Amino acid sequence: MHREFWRRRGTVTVILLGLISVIVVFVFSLSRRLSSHTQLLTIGDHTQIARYYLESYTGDVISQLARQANDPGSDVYGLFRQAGTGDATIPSGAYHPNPLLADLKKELGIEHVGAPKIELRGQKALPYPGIVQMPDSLKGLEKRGFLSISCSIRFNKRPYTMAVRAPFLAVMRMTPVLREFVLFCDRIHLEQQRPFGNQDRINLTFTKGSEHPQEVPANYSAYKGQPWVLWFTDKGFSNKDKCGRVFLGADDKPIYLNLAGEKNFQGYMSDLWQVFPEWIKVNKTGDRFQLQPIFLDNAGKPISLRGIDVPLKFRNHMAKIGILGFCHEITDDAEDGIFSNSFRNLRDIMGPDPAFQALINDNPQALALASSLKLFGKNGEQNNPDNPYYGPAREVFGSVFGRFLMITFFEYPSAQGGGQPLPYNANANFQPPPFATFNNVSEVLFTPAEPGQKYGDYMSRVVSGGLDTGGPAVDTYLCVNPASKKSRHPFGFRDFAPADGVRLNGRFDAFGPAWFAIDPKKRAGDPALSTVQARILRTFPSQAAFTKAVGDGTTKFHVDGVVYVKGSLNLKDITTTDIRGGVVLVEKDITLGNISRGINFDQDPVALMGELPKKLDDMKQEELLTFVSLSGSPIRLAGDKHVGVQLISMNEKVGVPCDQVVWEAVKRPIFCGGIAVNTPNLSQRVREFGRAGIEPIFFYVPSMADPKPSVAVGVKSYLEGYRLAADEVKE
Amino acid sequence: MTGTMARRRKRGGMSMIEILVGLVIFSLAMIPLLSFGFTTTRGTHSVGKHMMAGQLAASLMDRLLAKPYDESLANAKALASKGWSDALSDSLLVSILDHASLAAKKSEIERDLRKSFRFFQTRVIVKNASGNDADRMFLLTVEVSWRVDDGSESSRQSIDLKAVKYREDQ
Repeated sequence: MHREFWRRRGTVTVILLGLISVIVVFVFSLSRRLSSHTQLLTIGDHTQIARYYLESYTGDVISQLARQANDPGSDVYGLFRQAGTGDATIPSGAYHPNPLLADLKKELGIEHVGAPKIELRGQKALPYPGIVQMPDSLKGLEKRGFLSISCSIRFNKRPYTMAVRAPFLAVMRMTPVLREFVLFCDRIHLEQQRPFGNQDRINLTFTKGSEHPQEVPANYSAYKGQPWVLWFTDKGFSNKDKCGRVFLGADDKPIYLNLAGEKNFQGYMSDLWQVFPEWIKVNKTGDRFQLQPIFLDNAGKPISLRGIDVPLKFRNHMAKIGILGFCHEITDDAEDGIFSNSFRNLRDIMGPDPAFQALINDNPQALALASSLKLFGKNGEQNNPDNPYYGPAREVFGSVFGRFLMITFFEYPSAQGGGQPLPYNANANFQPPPFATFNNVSEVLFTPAEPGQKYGDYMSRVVSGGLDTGGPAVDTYLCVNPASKKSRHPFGFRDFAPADGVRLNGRFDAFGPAWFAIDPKKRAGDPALSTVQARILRTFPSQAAFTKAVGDGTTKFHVDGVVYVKGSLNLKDITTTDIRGGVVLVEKDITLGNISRGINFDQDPVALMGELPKKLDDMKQEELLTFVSLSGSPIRLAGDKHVGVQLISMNEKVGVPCDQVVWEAVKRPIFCGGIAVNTPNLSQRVREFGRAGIEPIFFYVPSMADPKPSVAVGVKSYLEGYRLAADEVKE
Repeated sequence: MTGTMARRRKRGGMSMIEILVGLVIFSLAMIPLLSFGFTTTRGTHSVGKHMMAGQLAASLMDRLLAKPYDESLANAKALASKGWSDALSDSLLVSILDHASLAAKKSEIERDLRKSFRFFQTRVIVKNASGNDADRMFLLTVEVSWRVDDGSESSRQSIDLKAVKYREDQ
């Protein structure tokens, strides 16, 4: 019985022990489960915290490198700009955590594992349109690639690594080809549909100040015009690569510029120094032009012109050749004119030259109208007319000819009236009848000095007239290229050889459409494109976003590359000196205030003209701004002082002269940089300049033509190849 | 003799006292078990809330970081000025969390959200950088708190996430 009792008691104990064991196991497993839940939750939280820290960390690396990429003093500046497209490692010293990140690191108890690994990888050279031929030295200068960044940390004893790629784009800060030009007008021929009369809208500046002197035709009564004068800095004067080129197109359309003259050819406005005696075919001795008597007036007083004496075959027979520029003094109604006291008449002297007839047919006052483009500044010979002066080195591209008048008198012993004019004759081999000597005592024949010479080589005519290209004097078509005085071929695209080695494979007028083509179906920065669209680093939805990013121009203005602004752009004065250059592509209209760069334009004009060219010579390409109106609509200049600026307004659909850069300010325009348009619409510009009563000043900035173009780098803020690992990422 | 033994065998089952003692012991054993089970259930519920809080914080943080710098800063400052606010009563927060792809089931989702995010509160803190970096970056903190025990305000826990937002156009 006692044993039975204990047997029954054991059953309960076993049952209880079993239940307790089950409970313990159950509790233990629940506890484990709950513990693992908590652990997983903790790991999840830590991973989130680590993720955001690593994003901040990599973001800091990208942010700092993006800023250093355009800082010439930084370690990485050169790496982004090195030749070729090979991979490169950015030194670890280029990055230091910003204080905000350092505080966060300390607060979270995070430890950095080594320095971030940063490399430039996947670099590919940007393509160019077929018309642009890049030299080997510049291939790969413009490129795209990515920053490969790997950052490792330790957080709560766990390693975390984030690897990301940030795309970057390296592009030139200025437009190739166009940056070589102080003035580029690829359809200015539309302003000279006919090189005479009212359809000539290039030669429309009177040379006597801003007002026509007297008895002006009705359509000129309110006319006050000033020419577009291109000046030179010291650095640019003698260096063709530093003084800014000019293109007047279209490439195959001749442009005739009336060279300004004055009774006193030493006047500031005279262009006659541009006519070189070497260009006069019969000037075998290479004499210089001098102010010398060419014919006599009614009183027997010699009338002196800029000219040379060319000996003829017989002793004491000579051709006295004088050149005349366009000015009021050669018109019929000039009371103090060159021919006013002479029985000689310019109409008689020029004879039936069709170019002369065409010039005076529509308007005799047209002889007083000179070109509105003074491509070589004011008369540089003015202060020293007796020394040879071949002018600045500026190259003028296009079929651009200087137009002037040449009058020739045949002088021989006892010549009647001091010499007989040799008028134009369509027959170059014309033999004029014998000339009578004084009192008709005898006769003499005009006989050229050498057997191969013709009457046409000597005769009076409009040189580069615009009508006689197939006539007797084709050899006297004189292109406007002072630096090429020994060559008479106009500079075409094959002659374009700037210092950076870029060449053109086609016409100048094909460059604009090829480079500025925007395909609305493609995105900005599309790598498949070869146009400027592929080079856009940033797109701004509005002017406000643009100024917010680059600065308002009072404290800074950092463009840094090629950017695109949707809509219109209206900028107030940019007065700061803290400017980082680039190309601003604008969808619609552009209005600019002054861009003065800290220069005091209110100072004494003489002092200003001493300071300004020096500043321009020292200005770097990194600082220069380009504004492009992609629609070709007018760029309106509300200010009249613009330093270090290139304005481009081009549209391939332009078929008539139109306003593409407009000066709205009434003060004296001072513009330093370059302008590229289809048509300047000179008749309007001349009137705008005329409002100031003094000629405008245009300078080229020499650094625009640097052999090595300035490059800006843009690092995109979005990330590619995002990888987060709770361990070291293996590349 | 045989009859006596057989009667005794019949009386060999557990007595009432034994059963009662067993039940008491069993009950005593079950109390911690049930308590633990209850705690576990509550803990699991809490884990779920914690995960929701983490997702809410991450979602808000991601939305703010994804915006352009100025917009992000403006939104963050607007949220920061409100201090703690109920997760679903703040229109700005809701607009930030709103997503077009959810529009079709919006009411259903909102009902679920109201149920799930009851007693959830959020807070955003903006810390500006100093010196030259002042206009280039700011530290963003997103904090989400929740009641572990729905009935007890004192049972609040919170999670916070921190990240630095950088200006894109520098």
